[in-house]
Amino acid sequence: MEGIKGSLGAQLEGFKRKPEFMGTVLILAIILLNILMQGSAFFKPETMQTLFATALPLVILTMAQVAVLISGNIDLSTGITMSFVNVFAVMMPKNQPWLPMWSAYVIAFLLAVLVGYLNGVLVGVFRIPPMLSTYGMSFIIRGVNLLISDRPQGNVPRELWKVYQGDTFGIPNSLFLLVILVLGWFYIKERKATKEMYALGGDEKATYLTGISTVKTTIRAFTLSGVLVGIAGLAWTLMLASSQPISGDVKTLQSIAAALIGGVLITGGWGTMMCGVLGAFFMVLVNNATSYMFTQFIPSIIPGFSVSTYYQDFAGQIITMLGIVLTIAVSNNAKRMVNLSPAHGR
Amino acid sequence: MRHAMSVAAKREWAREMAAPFLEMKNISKAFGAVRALNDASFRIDRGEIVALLGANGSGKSTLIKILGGAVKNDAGTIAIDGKPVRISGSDASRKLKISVAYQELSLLPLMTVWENVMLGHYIPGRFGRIDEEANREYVRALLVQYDVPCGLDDYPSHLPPSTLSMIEIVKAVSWRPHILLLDEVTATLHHTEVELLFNNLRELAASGTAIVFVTHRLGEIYRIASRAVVLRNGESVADLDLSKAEIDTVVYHMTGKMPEPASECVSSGDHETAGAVLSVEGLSIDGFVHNVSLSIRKGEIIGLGGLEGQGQSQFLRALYGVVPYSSGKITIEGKAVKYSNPADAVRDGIGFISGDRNRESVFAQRSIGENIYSARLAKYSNLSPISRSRVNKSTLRIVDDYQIRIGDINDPISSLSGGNQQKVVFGRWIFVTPRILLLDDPTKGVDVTTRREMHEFLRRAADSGMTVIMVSSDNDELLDLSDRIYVFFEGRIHAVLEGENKTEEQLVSAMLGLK
Repeated sequence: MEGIKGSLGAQLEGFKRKPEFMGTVLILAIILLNILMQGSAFFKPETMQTLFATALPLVILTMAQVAVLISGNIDLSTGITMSFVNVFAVMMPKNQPWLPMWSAYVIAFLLAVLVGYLNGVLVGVFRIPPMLSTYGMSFIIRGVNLLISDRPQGNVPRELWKVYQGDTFGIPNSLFLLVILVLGWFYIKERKATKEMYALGGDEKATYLTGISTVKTTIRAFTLSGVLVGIAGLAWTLMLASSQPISGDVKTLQSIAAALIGGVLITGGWGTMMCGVLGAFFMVLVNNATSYMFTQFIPSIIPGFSVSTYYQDFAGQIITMLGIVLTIAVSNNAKRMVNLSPAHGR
Repeated sequence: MRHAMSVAAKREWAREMAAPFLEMKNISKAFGAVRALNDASFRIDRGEIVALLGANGSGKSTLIKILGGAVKNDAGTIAIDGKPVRISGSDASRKLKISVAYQELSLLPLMTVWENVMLGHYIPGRFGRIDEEANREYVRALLVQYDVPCGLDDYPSHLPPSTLSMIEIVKAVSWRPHILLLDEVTATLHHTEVELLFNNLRELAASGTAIVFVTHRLGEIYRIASRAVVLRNGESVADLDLSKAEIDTVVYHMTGKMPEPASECVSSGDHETAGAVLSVEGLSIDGFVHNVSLSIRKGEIIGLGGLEGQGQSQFLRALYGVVPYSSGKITIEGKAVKYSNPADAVRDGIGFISGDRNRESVFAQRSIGENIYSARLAKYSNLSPISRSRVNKSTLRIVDDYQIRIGDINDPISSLSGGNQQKVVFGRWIFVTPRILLLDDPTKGVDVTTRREMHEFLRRAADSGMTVIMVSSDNDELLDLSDRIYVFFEGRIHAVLEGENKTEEQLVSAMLGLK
């Protein structure tokens, strides 16, 4: 009996050292808050369905961001590239009738991968700081988006977005997509190339000295990110069911914040895609909770309560900020231990 | 671990024995104006253990880095098995079956021990995934064989320096290299650990690995190596058979001087502490400095000598509040002090000049005037008005006094030559007239004339009552300038040279840790 208890304790200790620890704690806390307010209504299939369908683009986008963050880089073009996929997939079949719809979706996805690859080349081969090169890239893509579609317009066939926004046996279909992506992460996690991405994020010089091509690894990280941005763009398209040229841009910074909340270190080398998933869901659930709080929960206690929706944002952002502070405090603790290593000094 | 050798392979091996396994010929490498290697040559056969020796800046690390692919040679040829090879990068080096354990370590702080060791050559399992169990098993066996006291899942940040060095060695060995390069890996190891390491290295050599061993512990080379190649000022000056060459001969080739045992090996506790400006008792910095005591009188110029990385730089930085120390007491003019950061030290009248201009002293884009004025800032309150004219007027005096050749005082400091930049840094600290001035290799990469001028500044400063403590890798500088030289070896004061004992011969032998 005691042995089992001991091993459980050891497992808990081990989990505390994992990057996902803070993300898990936060997500459990916010789910608890939602349940306390909404009760079992929170688990209704419609609620779940809407929740996953709207959250998924941000979640996948965060996974894309994690891919570059662990390699010690950052990508400020992910959000607008997601919009690019959306615009291309919706508008191209309309503007070019000879192009079958399915091929527009495939080409849009491939172009997102190409953008990721080009970002990797700019950073890895031309040594342009990722903050600059990807920021520049985001303006190029924004321009292309507006050329293709200068305003929100177009539509996605009903049967397509119905599948994405529907459910099977009460399980949201979008959840299946997420499960596939997470399984994909576990498939690549224990691979040489992935470990090398972590190494690069940890210390570029040491990685180079170990005989690893830092250029190839950088390009790989950005390309992986491009693949995920492509998938996020398709999910985004099915969620919006129309073409919106620039609305995805704000998601870039949200996805970086989500990754950090989930426990990814912005300096690189630490964190997993699960961290990104947890962090992104945390942000979505915070919005969910505050919106419910202001529109239903408080009015049910104080009849006649009604305030501007800006107060919702205000409360939501405070909770998000608290989440960031908590997670960074935990990872700073880890970093302080790193700084005790004898590598410092001469 | 061993390479099983078939009869055919043995015959092949015997045929190749004629040409050396690895041969480097006429290798040159310059970093800017500094020639790190100049027409150096090196060769090693299979199964041989060769010591690569040289004093500070002799180019031995550069030679290792060229083989490891971290640095590219400007000229010269490298051949393995008689076939010329090009080492274009560290991955090319690994493909040639060369691996390196670096003195500065190549471990990643955020990866576990087994991930670190196997990085770059993980054993694959099914579906191209890493076979974690096989990797762990492989690393576990190596850790046991080399008796490394750590777990597979430990992070390097939690391990002591000696363990990290062992992991770095295991990491290099795990590649099963044909050529293994060890760059001062024993510096942090204890004697028992060294013994076990040597047994393992001998076994590796017996199985055909060529091992290049860089060390500053001359005692060790006789126990492990059969041959020693000596570099001096970037040139290979000697190739010695260690069964014949005496240790004095080795030192002679390294330094150009015959060593003489230091006749005075006293700890400075003997020096009178009364009237001392600075006295240090039992100062220790984890992993770098062990129980160092010294005391210094007003107006003295004190030299801290030793090979690179013997703790003298850390010691100096501990006095300045940069590096925290684990135990010991520092007293300045009778008052016990403990600075937690340099700002406190500066306010208390301590100055610091680093030879590493770009990283530690120059504000490259700011004007010459501002660069000189900067050390004063620590003395003012946050809201003190500092006008440009005031900065320029007061700093021009320094420029004139010290004959720093400048265009305009408002020009950025980067417009000056390296030597003049360093003079500006000198001016910065003379300007605030600290009680104690600390210098870390102040004339590194500075031309001879400027160097002489700087020595002149220091003498003048000392005559006017400033106390000077200087770390230097340049023996002439130490001998010319210092009233007394403390020689560091492996984090301890190995010898104190003063008066007629202050000779280059004694300095050299003390630096190498000879008794």
